[in-house]
Amino acid sequence: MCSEECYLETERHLHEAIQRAAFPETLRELVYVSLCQPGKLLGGASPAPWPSLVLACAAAAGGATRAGVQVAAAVEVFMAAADVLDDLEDGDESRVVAAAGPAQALNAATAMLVLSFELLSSLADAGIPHHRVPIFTRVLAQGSLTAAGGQHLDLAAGQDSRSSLSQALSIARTKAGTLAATASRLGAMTGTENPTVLALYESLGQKLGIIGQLQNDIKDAKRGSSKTDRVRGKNTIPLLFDLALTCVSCGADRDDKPRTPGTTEDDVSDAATAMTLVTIDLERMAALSILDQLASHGQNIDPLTRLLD
Amino acid sequence: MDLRTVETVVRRLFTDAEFRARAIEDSAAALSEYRLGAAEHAALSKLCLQLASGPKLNAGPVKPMGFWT
Repeated sequence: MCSEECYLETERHLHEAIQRAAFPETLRELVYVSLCQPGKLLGGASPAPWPSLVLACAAAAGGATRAGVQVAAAVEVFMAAADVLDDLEDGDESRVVAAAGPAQALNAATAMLVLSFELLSSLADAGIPHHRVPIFTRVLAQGSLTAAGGQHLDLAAGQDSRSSLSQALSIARTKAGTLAATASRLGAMTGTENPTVLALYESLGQKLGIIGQLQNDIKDAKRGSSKTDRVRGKNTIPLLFDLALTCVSCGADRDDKPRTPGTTEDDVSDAATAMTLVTIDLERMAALSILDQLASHGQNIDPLTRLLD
Repeated sequence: MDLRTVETVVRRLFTDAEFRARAIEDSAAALSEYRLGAAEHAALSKLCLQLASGPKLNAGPVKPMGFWT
């Protein structure tokens, strides 16, 4: 992780970027609604997960603090935009939508996406050589495109009752895994250009992203969650596992089962929770193995190890 | 990672009382019925240990990484 100083500096970068942008005041306020939510740096999260990941990778790779905090700010605003879009697409509760409606929320998310690229494109101000700056924006662009593909598959799979757990994991890898892999690589790029090492950081980020997604899936599968996973019969590992278990016990095909477990009295089963926790353990073990490889390449893995505590 | 075998084992642990009892008693012997990699074996052994602590799964605190709200 990073010192308190790094987080304060990242906050300062965020404020400056928002003030610098040619936004009308009402759009600026909407951007702040998104960035000040619980779990976000400006919302008081300590540690805020996305800046933590970026700053830990930057520190592990020996990157300069100035560059690390600017990348952390870019990733924080990018992920806030992705959250708004995800909530809109899933029909989940969203403070931004509640504040201004879906059209304004969509516009605010678009503005934040562009703002994240703007932050990366001025990395030369933070000491990154000019010739390397486009590589940062390209990495974020490529990660965004892959994650958009994952989101497409996720939305499409929500209507396919024959999805397997492996497919659900593959979607988590493409969507959540790619976003965290991109954040991890961008942080490490402030300290190294070694492609082998950067690939390891990317793999580590992917594992962390999948773990985070699966943890969310357990939470969102429970009755009473504010998310719509159960009602929509979303193909997450806990919900798919429960669906298959119910079909086995009653002898029905998956296609015959209602895709609305939220309408039943059942909460997510212990078996489904166990299956998801075992999957998380498998990803965690893979992440620990990647940490060993990073250490063998001379990386300071202490800040990274804390991410897995 | 092939989740199908892991899924089969977890499902059996929660639907086959006799297998569950054997897995709690001696997880290595019970899991030897399946072709598992080292990581899968370790993760399932850990689950068997958790199941030994009571009839309800003691998942322990899941500390969310908080990437997604």
